[in-house]
Amino acid sequence: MTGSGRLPILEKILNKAPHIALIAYVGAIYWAFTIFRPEMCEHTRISEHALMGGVVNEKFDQEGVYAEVLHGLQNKKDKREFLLDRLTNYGVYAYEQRWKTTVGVLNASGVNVWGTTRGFRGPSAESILLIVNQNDAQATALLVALAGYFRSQLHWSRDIFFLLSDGGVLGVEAFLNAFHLTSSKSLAFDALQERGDYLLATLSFKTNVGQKSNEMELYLNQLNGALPNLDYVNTIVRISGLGRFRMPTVLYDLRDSNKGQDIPWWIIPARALFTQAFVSVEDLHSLSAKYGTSGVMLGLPLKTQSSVRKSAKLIEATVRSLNNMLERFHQSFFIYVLADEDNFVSIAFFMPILGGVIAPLLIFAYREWVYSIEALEIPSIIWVVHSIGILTWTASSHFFGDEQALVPGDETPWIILLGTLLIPLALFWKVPPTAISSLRFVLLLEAALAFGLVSLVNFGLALLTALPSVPLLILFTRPQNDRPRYRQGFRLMFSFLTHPLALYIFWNVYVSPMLMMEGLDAANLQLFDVVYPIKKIVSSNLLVGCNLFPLLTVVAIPIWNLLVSLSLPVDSIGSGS
Amino acid sequence: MLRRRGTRNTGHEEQSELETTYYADAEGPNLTETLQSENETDEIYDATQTFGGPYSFFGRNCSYIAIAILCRVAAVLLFHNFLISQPEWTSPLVSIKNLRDGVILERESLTSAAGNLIRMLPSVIFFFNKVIDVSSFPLLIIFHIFFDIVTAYLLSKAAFKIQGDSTVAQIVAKCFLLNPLAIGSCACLNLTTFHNALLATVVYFFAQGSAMLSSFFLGLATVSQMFPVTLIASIWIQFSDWKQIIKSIIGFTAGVSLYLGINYVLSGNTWGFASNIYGFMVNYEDLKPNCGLFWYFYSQVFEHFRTFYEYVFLANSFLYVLPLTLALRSDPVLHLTLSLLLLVTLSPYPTLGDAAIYMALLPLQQRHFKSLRYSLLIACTITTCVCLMPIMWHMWVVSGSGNANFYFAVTLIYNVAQLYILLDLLMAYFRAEVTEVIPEEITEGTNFVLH
Repeated sequence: MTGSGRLPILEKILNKAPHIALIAYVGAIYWAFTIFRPEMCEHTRISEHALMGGVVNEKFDQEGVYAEVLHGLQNKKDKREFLLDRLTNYGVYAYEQRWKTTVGVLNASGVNVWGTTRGFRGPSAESILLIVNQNDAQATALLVALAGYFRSQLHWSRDIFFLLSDGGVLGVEAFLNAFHLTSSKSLAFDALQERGDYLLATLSFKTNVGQKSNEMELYLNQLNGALPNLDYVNTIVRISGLGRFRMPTVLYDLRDSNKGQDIPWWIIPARALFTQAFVSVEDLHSLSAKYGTSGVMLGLPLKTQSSVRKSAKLIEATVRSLNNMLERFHQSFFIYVLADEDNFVSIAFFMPILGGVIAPLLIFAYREWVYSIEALEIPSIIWVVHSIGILTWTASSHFFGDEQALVPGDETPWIILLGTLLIPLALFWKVPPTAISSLRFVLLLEAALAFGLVSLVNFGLALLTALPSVPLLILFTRPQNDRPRYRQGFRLMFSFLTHPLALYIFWNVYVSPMLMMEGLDAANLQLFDVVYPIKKIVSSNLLVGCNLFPLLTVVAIPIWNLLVSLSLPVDSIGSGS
Repeated sequence: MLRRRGTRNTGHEEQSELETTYYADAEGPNLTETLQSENETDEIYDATQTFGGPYSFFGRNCSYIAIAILCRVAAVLLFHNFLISQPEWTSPLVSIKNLRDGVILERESLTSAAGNLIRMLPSVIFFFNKVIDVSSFPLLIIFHIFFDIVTAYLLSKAAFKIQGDSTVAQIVAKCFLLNPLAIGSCACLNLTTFHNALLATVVYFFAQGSAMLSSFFLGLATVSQMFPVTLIASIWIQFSDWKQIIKSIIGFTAGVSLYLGINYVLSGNTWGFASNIYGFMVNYEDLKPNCGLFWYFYSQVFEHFRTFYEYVFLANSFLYVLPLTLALRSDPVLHLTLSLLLLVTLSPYPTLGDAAIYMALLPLQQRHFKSLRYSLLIACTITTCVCLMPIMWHMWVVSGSGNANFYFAVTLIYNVAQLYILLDLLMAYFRAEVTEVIPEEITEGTNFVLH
């Protein structure tokens, strides 16, 4: 114990706060670069043995049906009628479901075609859903052929539903809403004529992007950072790697270095984190997690007859594995980062990264508490910026959610919203000098809490936002006593540049190319480049419930405002230290 | 780590038993400094007794009342649906959904108390059936906000009466009006606001020095929730002469009898509601998660041990009354505050809003604040836990990526943090007591004393 009554270790941390904070931050990054190396990761395994991936003999032989349906889709005028007719003809109970959007951000409608074949081996309490997009003729033809084939088989103990979605993700959202008897503020849709019970899993597929005859693309990121159960992913990877399929798995459209491509090992985990963080709707599978269901999407080679048969058998093997399951997916991980298709990092290993990254915030907050705060005085700006954040979120949701609010092609409301988000409210609100320390303390703690909370749901988002934010927060919460005026001014200007949207542009211009992703061209930046992401996150918030927009308005922008407030020069309206 | 320094019989009339004093180094300010500051605080405390002056709740707090109303209206409009779907904010005993169901059953002439669906008193169902239309959303909002303002008023007035300091009274009012737990509870529109108002009335009359009325309202609160009966110990400490105790017994009996009688009549001269509500509490029939400690235990316990543990948990709820009464017999306000805290922690179906009452009363213990060792840790823990609860619930129930342990861990830590408030305050109180009794034992190196 020390004279001050603190534990010696705490005293040491306080005395050497900058060094320890730096060590924690750098150590976390070093740890990340260690554990995400494929050779350091755990090898994937299947915990639910009943899945028995690839043990069954697949017998799909309906390439003729596939060819017939594909031909029909290419030639028939009323494709929906044709699909219903084919499905009914193969003995599948088939129906239509109409849906349309009821929000201002998007005026869309569609007619899903769906069918079901019931489990034969007893009254089923669980279902499996196969999904394709109607626009993808090859995938649609394969699903119809599979539906007919599945109908003729007797080994089903679960109900199998087939969804041919019209309108992509929104069609799936309409179906899943109707399936779960839930309502949606953004969609109006028909009720389903037949119902199924708990959805064990959804399996979506499409024609692969790479158009290679031996590759299977695997997409697994779901809404708001959710991931499918790792058992499900592993089962598919195991099946596709079997000798009779020999279809190498491609993750995030990247072929790793083991397969002859010259790609650094860290790209796949980095892309995994990035996709989890910012790609709220990856494809048709992405909304399954919203309903507590694991969903993946496969990009399958559907060009040649042999590849069609292989793909169909792959789906058959996967569905029969799901059919074998004794319990719902729960045994394996839901929170993980894939280093490649055979290796993963579990939550126990990657959570310390975030711990290390946000440790400086906690250390400096504690130091503030011990050395600077005599009486905690929470300045009203904290409540003001957060209240305005909540108001912006709810008012925007209300306005853009109104079907009649937006005129097509009129960008004015979006520009107003953008302007609202860009205004530094801190300039208009005075912080009493006595409350500066408390403001620093609360800001650091709030940021740490926000990163910590988000990491449990969306680790990628928490980590990728914490990495640049933590140094900035530490930098801007340092006292600026006796600094030259020009340095205070410089600090204020720099604080404006830490706006989340500025960071977004920085990311897209400089970091995306490093991740081998399409980014923005710094030389040709336009207003649209800033408005577009706002439109996207507002739309996905309203249409499917993506939480990036509320996080931006209620947490990120207020934190930026508080940061600006702390950067105001001494004797200015904000105050100094 | 604790280090035993010795024993001492003080000879003080309040400390006649052999007392064991422990000294230890621990995080927190130096005890000698603290004691000095405590003495200073006491002087200020005494001074305010003189200069308190009249205190106008509405005059001093009008801006906070306006903000509180605004916050509550906004919270109801924006987050009502979300909050009532979260288990930590509601329970079968206070849920607005159950209340609506009960009223509908009543309107359909189906006695709500007879079945095992509605766990509310017939008087409550009657009130929301005949007086306040439970289906009227604006009316419910007004009703709940009104009760929250009344609660703040009563607590604030009680604080002024106890401390004689309008600043402390104002802080107490702020602590309730602007407490996110109280705002969230109001946004749920459940009966927690009503229960809080009832307990605030007990606190008010407790401070006003009316044994009869405080006990009477305690009787009403006991009929409503059963476990507040433990607060009678605080009243008996506050009003310790026999006349007052007899008055309080009469008041309590009158409150219980009157309210039970009304419910008996309203339920068609049957006692069905008693087993339906009190049996439900004691037997812990509903295993739906909440922010308490019971649900997880009862979902795990073997059925043949269940009855045994029902007795154990029931006894546990009342067990601490005696030791707490013996330990805090010279500080009834602290006793009342800590009893309210224990009430929240050990009741079978707590909600987050229940904690708002004792949290609002904590400023009354400001003279102990300098001696608290874990205030930062406790505040951060409670804040984090309250934020984590909906996330853990989402992971467990919505996305399926977590399990029951996730949610229970957070509720467990939340309750442990609350108990640490109790422990920290007790420690601070004992230290202050030791200072009065054996000040020579306090040295420069002493950081805290376990007394």
